[in-house]
Amino acid sequence: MLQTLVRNKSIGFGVIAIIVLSGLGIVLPAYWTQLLTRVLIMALFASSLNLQVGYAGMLPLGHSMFLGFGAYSFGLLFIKGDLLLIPALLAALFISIAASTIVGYLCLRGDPMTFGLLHLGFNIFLSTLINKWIRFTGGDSGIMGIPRPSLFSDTLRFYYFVLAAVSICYILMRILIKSPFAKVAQGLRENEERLRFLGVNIRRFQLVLFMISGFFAAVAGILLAMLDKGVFPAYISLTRSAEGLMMCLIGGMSSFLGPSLGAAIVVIISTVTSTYIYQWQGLLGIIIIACVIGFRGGILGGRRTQSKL
Amino acid sequence: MQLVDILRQVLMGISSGMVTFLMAAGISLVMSGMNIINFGQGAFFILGAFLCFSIVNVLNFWWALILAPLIVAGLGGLTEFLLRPLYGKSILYQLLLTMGVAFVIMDGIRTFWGKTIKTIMVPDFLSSTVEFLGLDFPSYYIFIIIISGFVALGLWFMFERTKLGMLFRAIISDRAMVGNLGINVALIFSLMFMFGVWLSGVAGALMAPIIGIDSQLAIQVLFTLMTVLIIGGLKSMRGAFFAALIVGVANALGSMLLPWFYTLIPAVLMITVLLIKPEGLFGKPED
Amino acid sequence: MILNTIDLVKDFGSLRAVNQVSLEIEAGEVRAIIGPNGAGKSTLLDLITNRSHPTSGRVYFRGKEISHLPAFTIASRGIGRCFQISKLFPGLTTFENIQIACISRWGKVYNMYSSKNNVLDHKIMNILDSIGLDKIVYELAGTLSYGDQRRLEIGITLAMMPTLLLLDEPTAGVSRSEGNDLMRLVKKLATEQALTIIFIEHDMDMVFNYADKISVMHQGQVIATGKPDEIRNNNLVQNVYLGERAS
Repeated sequence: MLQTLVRNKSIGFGVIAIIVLSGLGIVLPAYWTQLLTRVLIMALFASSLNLQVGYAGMLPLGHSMFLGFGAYSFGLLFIKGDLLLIPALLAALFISIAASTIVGYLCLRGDPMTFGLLHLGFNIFLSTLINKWIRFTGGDSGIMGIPRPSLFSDTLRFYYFVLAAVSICYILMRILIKSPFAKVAQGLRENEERLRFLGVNIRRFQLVLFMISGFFAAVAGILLAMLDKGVFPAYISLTRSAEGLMMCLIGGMSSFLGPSLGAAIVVIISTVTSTYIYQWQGLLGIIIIACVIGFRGGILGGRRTQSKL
Repeated sequence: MQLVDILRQVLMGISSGMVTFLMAAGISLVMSGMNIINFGQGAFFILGAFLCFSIVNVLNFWWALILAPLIVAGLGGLTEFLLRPLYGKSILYQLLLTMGVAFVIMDGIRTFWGKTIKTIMVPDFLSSTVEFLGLDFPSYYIFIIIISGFVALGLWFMFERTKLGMLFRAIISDRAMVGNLGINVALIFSLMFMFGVWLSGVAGALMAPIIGIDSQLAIQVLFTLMTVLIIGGLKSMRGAFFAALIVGVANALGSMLLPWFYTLIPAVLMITVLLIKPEGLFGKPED
Repeated sequence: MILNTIDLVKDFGSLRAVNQVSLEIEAGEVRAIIGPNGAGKSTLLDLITNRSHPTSGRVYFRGKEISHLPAFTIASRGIGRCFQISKLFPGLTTFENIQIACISRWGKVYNMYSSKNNVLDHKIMNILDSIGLDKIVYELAGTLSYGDQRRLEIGITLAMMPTLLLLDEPTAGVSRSEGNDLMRLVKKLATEQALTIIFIEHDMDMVFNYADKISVMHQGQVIATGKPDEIRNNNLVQNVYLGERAS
């Protein structure tokens, strides 16, 4: 057992990470535990985005859509649809997968630039829709009263719930990353035409990747709704999409954990500084500018450097 | 409701459309010439409005109209300088950098001007109405249309008839060649970008008297700009013009006739265009 | 007959790049396509693989029409393409470049979990061995020398185990001896895998040494097809092509 751990670095690393994070949960005061929960959720979001950006070289400019799909379908099903928690959760996941398939299909009809713009367009459309359809979605104030699983309702227990859920997702993503599928995704990023001439149906491949990426983002959305005990239009905003991209950039797009690190930085800065300094947007802006110019690699490595993927 | 109300809405729609066109043209120009997408255009717009607000209180509105855009253009030059290492790289980096600049500007505005929404009055002699065909129209909107029209004409004139415009056009069609001819492409790039940002500054100064000047508007404006550009075609000035007018009028009429629904119209239009003709109504497909 | 085209035409606006080309290639043949620059040779390959849509005309591969199939389908049916400018995966290693080709060839593109003992690894190393790149397995493809990149290009294409191989100027830019190595390698692998080869070439020595048959193109048309000796002695060809080269 110990031998397997030692031999397989990533399993070892993962176990240590989980132990450390679990320990932190006990040690930290409630405010920080809550913050850490948010970090975990957004790390999942950023990692889901990076599947497209860092691995396949796609540019989904409106990825917060899927955060919203997960959160809003869960919220609406629970509050308006009167479903119980677990059925609502499953139904929300199902709806999110269906939505990501449709959106993906429509977005992938043209060239990469069109993909990015259409993606952005859908984000804008859905964001406006949710903001304006006040009767259905509560508009600006969102919907309150989203539950957490009854066993995990307090801050600490919910933290462990999220830790478990996110860890499972990370394990799944890790397996995916090491598979032939992910290699082909990298080929897509490196030279799409060559991949085409190797017999790969590019559009179908991108759609499958898109669905997987959207799925994990939706999971993050549901967890976020549970964390905030509500769903809000901010989940689906353009700013949130941009933040996702920033997380990938800051942490490094060419490593598996880069986006997670980026998420930690962005979430901590925006939450902590907004308490003490209030104006965090500018600081975030400066960090992004620095990262883009200075080290396009992000902290853990950028696109064109050694791929530690 | 009467004809006069509808016409008035159309007028307001045209005026907002013209202003949107100026900003969209700014993005389109930079996109065509430098392959850079300036996601900060909304922030530059609102900065122009804030600067107008300040200058109006010190000097007068006419000075504000002239100075505010110039100051904004200066900041644009600084941004272009930051963008230089990114030429030719993935659009993701430019997007993020210009967004970063937008964030810094928005925060800077809050630091400098505070968080309250600012307003300024329409200059006196423009605050009345004008009679046309027996109907009354607010003069300021006509003023906006006229000034934007002048700027647009000036833009066209510069492009087609001046040496600078010729250089712009040359760069747009073949950047490498222009470089080979010994022309300082870097300088032209700076000018191009600053010009694009200047247009935003003009838009901001023009709109300042009729909006609540609020830094959060920057994002709203970016929405609209992206919508307009997607509909018209990212690299097409003509497309930007028609799309901006269509969206402006649709918004104005919609806000009166379908108040619940009208904000979705631009987005729906955008998606429709993207699905049918992805390069935009006036765009050319990249083969 | 493994490949035949019927009256293939490609217009770019008012320019007719390929003009009523009808070719017949037999299985196992090594066909060279020669002609001055701009004769339409590369465009012809583009039309066959549907990288570019024919304006008119049809293409048949192994008896079935492939004229309107998407490029990736044609590739997966067994037509491999090496490009004039190598299309590799520059940020990935030599090993990974071949690996992706093998993943596609062996149907593992949607395999989302990977088994520890990857049987593909042996296949990949074999291919790297056969193209002589087994020593530089972990170099990024973008950093390889030009000649090695050409080899890798051939390796990737051959990893797909195509039935028909299209090569666009395989020896351009490499030294005479390296060119010969390349062509010998291609010919050897072709015999081993029973490949049919169409190659575009400007180096006449390569052409006459390795081709079974030659087609000469000029201004979008095939003006002559025949065995090397026939072509060598063909007056029209001499005037149009070899004559032009001499001057």
